[in-house]
Amino acid sequence: MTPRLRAVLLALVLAGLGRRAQAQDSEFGIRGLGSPGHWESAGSRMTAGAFAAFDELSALADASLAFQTKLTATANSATSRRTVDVGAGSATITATRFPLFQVSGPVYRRVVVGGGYSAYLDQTYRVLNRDTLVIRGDSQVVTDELRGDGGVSDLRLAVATAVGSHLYVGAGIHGLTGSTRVRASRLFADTSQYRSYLQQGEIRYEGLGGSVSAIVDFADRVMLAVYGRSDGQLQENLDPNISAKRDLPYTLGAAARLRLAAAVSLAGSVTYRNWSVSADSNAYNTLDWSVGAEVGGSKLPLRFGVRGGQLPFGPGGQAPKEIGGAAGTGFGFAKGHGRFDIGVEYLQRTGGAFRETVWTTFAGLTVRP
Amino acid sequence: MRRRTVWRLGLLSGVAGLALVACSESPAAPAQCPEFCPPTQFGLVDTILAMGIGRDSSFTGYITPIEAPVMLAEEVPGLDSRAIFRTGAILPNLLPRSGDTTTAPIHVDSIRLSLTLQFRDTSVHNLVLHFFKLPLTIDTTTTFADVQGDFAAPEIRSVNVDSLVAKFGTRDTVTGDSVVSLNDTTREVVLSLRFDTLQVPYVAADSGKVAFGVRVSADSAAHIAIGASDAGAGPVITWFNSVDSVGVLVSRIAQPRLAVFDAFVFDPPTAALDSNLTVGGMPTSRALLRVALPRWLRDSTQIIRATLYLVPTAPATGFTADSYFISAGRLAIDVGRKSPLAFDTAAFNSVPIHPGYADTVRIEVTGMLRTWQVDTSAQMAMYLRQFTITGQLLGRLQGTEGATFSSMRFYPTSAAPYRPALHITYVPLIRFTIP
Repeated sequence: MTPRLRAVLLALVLAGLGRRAQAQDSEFGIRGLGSPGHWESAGSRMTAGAFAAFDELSALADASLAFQTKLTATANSATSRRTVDVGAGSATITATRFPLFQVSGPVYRRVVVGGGYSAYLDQTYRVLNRDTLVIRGDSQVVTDELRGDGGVSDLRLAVATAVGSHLYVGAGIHGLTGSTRVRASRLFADTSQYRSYLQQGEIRYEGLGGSVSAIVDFADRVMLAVYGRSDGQLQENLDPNISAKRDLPYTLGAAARLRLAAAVSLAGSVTYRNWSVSADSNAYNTLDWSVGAEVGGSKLPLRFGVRGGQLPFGPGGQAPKEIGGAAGTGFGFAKGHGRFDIGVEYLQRTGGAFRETVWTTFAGLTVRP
Repeated sequence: MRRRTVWRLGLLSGVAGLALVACSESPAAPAQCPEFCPPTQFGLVDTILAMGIGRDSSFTGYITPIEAPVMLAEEVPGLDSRAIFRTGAILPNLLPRSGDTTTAPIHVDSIRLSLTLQFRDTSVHNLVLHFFKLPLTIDTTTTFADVQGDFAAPEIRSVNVDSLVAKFGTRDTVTGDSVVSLNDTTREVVLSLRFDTLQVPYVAADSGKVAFGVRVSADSAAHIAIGASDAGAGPVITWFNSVDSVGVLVSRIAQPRLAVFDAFVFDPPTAALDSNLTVGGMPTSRALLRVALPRWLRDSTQIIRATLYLVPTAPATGFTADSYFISAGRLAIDVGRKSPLAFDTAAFNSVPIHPGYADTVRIEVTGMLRTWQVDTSAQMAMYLRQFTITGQLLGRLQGTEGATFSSMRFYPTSAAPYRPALHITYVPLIRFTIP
């Protein structure tokens, strides 16, 4: 087996596992549509997403595809350890996700086509609740379990090209698809008299969105990016007779990248989404920001960044807040045909009396055959 | 090892590690509801379906004295019941010695009769079994009146069961009677009673066939159930015999014979069924209940508990020590009186009934109703039956129908205030996410 083939196979393994192992990214998403995914490659996530708009491996701005010079595939994995503090107690939740898989490459002169999978909304959760009910005059201890497994995936097909030597533009269409298997069960402690309750269902999702973006390169030292996206409506189908539509937000963002030296770059981004259109009073518009830096060349560079902003869903009439940082590095192998990035991220989220902290280790494998 | 190889090995190990980590996941979170719970809400409804039983009827004749697992012998005010049975024929001639070519007629030395007394009431004292000789013509048509004259004749002999059980070693050295086994759990006693040839003469013309009648007496409320052949515990007579071999009586192997017919006759006959729901008695009666489960309840809920309420018309009859069970069993198909029961233990339940019990009888029927929720083509009908513990097999108690005169009557659906009802606790269908 050649190193090239081995790298491709590894990438496929990572991508294949992605559909099975997803877990709730935040407790705040349980009550809403879910937890929004980050459309960032592992390399961009190390900078807290600050470089994502300029990263051809990320799925944030289609115009960045124009930087792609070879057929490239990348896949990410992320393992998180989340500590949830609910006031009365705390719990630690571990989960592994595979939030992104992208393939891109030039097809004709300066035209690059790309696409792939990324997590749009994560709806995996499992909530346990123990209670005592009075039934037929007697107290009965019950354990309720609510589970969801799945979410909405974003299947992107995008095209980008360079217009002249300083302007790059891109556009993409996004098919939103996926399903969540939901399950509700109630177990009675007194199994001799009461039977357990179990109901399962599957919610399927359909939606269509579009995105456009542009990047301007000023003398190869300063780059500015603007991006926008509209996702229309998300159709939810529980069975052929029950369906509903929810509005999805539009996304507006801008980013800047400054090359201070040959191996030192800074970047920052701001992204706005009007999530309040998609749910009830517990949904909020969000404004996220990030600032990051990359020091060093392609060999073991140091990448780091901080991010902040809001989460779109949460109780209490106010958007939960999120702040955190990330750092990591990467290296190439197989004469530049492969690249492995690895990093760590810390996030802290607060909303009312609820607080959660997340440590995530993530890795990305990129193959350029 | 080359540096490149080291890098490759490191990379592969990293990927393998990631794959392993991906297999371990613990996404459970403590609930902080409703703020951090899915909008899904569990409902719970507890209701009594007064019209849950749509139609009902009672049928009788399922188990008659001929088919009963026991022979009931009772002598209580208002009821006189006597066991009757006939034993099989024996070989009238046997070879005196092995190798002989001609047989010789047997000489009977003694007879032993083995009886199994099931669920003996230990509160009844001085329980005496009286044995009578009956004509060999007793059969399924024999009535109490037919054998009344034979029971009026002098008895063959009698046995005081309590005295025998109380004797040291449970053996009477004078009469030769003994207790073979005594089960404290089921209160079952197996007796081996000795008869001499004067009491039970061997009649060659009858090939040793003998018919017995058994009457019981006690200080009060004499009642006993003698095991019957239908349940594999019928009477066994053993003829101890010898053969004349050139002037010498040679003992030959004894000839045991099972009862080829056993039943019991009683007076007065059981009262006819009325408009109430009768369960038990002799011949046994069953109540057939047809359940009218509303379609919305069957299709759009999950039943987590269901209880059938039955209001008795009168206190349960029977003897203090003789409890029985009323069971509810699902029908495989509803064809009225001859409906077969479904062979599923999950949809079967019962409650113990103690004589004198007059309160509402509650039988859990959750399994049955949940079965009907799953199998909507199944006919929603059940039998109410009575059964009594009559034995123990492999450490488990065995119950059979038709082992007692006791019965219970319940108000039918036509008696509106007291009609059978279903108490149901259910969870309505949860609507996931989509309002």
